[in-house]
Amino acid sequence: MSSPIVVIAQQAMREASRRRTLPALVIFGCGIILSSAFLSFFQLGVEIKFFKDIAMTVIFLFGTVATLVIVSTQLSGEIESRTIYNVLSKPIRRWELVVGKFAGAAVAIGLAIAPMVAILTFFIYTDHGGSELEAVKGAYLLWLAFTVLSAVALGIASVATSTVTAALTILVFVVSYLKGAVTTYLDLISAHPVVAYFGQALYYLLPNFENFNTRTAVVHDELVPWAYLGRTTLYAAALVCLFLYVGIQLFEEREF
Amino acid sequence: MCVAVPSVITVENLTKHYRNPASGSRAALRGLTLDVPAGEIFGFLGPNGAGKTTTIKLLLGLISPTAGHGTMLGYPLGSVNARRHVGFLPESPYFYEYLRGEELLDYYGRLFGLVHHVRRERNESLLKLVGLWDARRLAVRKYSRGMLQRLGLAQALINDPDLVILDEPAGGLDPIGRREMRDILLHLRDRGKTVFLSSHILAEVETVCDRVAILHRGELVAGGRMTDLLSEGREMELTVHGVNGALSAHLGGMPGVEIHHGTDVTVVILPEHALVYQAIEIVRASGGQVVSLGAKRERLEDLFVKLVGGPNGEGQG
Repeated sequence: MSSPIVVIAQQAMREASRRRTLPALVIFGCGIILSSAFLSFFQLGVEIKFFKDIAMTVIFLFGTVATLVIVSTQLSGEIESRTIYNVLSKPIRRWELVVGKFAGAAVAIGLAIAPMVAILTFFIYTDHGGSELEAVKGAYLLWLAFTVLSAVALGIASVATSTVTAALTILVFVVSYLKGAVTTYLDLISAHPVVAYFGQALYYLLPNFENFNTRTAVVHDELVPWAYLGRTTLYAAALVCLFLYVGIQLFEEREF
Repeated sequence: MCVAVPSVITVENLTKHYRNPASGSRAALRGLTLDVPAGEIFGFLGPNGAGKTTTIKLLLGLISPTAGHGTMLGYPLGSVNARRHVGFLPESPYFYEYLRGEELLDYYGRLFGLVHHVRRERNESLLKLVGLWDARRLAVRKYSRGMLQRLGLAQALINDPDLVILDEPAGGLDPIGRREMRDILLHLRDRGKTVFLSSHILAEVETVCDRVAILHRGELVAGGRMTDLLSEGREMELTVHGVNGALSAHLGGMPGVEIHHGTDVTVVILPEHALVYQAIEIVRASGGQVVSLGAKRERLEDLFVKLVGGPNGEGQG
């Protein structure tokens, strides 16, 4: 007998795999990485760096899109398609549904980027192009970023439609990357203390997705310290807990 | 000796107001007090917007009451413990279209914590019961409306529930499907299960339900045992064949008599038992034939229309 969270997570993974978008994204991403392996042949002297740069970028981009595709339809899609009635009338708690959806999405995203990471490490190994372990560490950090993004999306999805969820998640993602520039801009345009507080709140509340980006280190064969990996994992866990907690609180109050 | 039957559902003063930014607060349910005894089929009736689905959502915890309280199977409304023993078929059920019928049942069985071999046995017996065994490997997206309704009933029974809540279960079913559904409901009652049946099909409710409650504009306007609500009056119903103009005039001349002409037979409603022999004598003398004679029983539809179906939905209740 499995816990409801495991059952819901497995169902979320099955949904992700049966919808055609995700397998198409994986095949397309793998295709680009494989193509870049042959294209990098023309980049004399820097072949493997060029390849690693492309591969890490593809994993980041396709992973982000996969996250949006999977998560934005998980909870709000269930509400919009009215399948939620059949689920919430079963003996499960609402928080179990949210956590199960998150767990399923996190595993599905991991499985989606795994073939791309496998191709990356295979070519690093065959070309003696640096440490495969560092590439895996870099991919792991990207996966952490995707789990944080999933938690953000589920938090939004607990009160919004799938379209609004996707749009707002993209907005949060972009603003999070640009938050340094946004807070500096807010300081410049106004000296009002409220604006300053808003800027600070924005800075600290939004996830710092740059913490998960070690693409440069992977490309240039620099080491990603284990301590950094541990700290970033804790940072991601804290963010996931925060956004899931907010999402669960909102979802508990929602009426269907 | 009167043995008290335990209640499966008890609600008291249950009220639900929906907030609407444009029009303010709207009362969907006003102080509903209800008892559903165990082991019966309970019909829950009302016109569109009466508050039937709102009540069901409150029972299952999909929405919270504005006021009032209640229990279901001895647990507070909407509690996980109550839902463990409840099967629910929503109105126009929606399912994951990418799953096959058997996968869907298996998923819902797992949500109830059923172990593998129990799920496998229940899947097989329920899919056969609702006539979907041959379509079990078909994707749900390929199911017709009637098949979805059958699948909905199967998933509502996957946990062998003590209480089955059905919201318009006959929707989308053909006459044979409706008959099968009725047989399943009666079989559930025979096994001691309680069925809470919300339906618009009054003939179906009248056939299977032991007890009904009629809701109108969020308020309970009638409720009780079917036999009490549809009590036989003093009126008699005489069905006659071969009525001609003269016979019709003779019968129409009797005090308080109503005549309804059909294509083949004529139904004569007599206000008193005492008029029966006189009417039969008139029919016999005029060459007509008595087809049947019986006490006129009020139909559920008559009661329903009387309570909620007046001009602008203003019933007498």
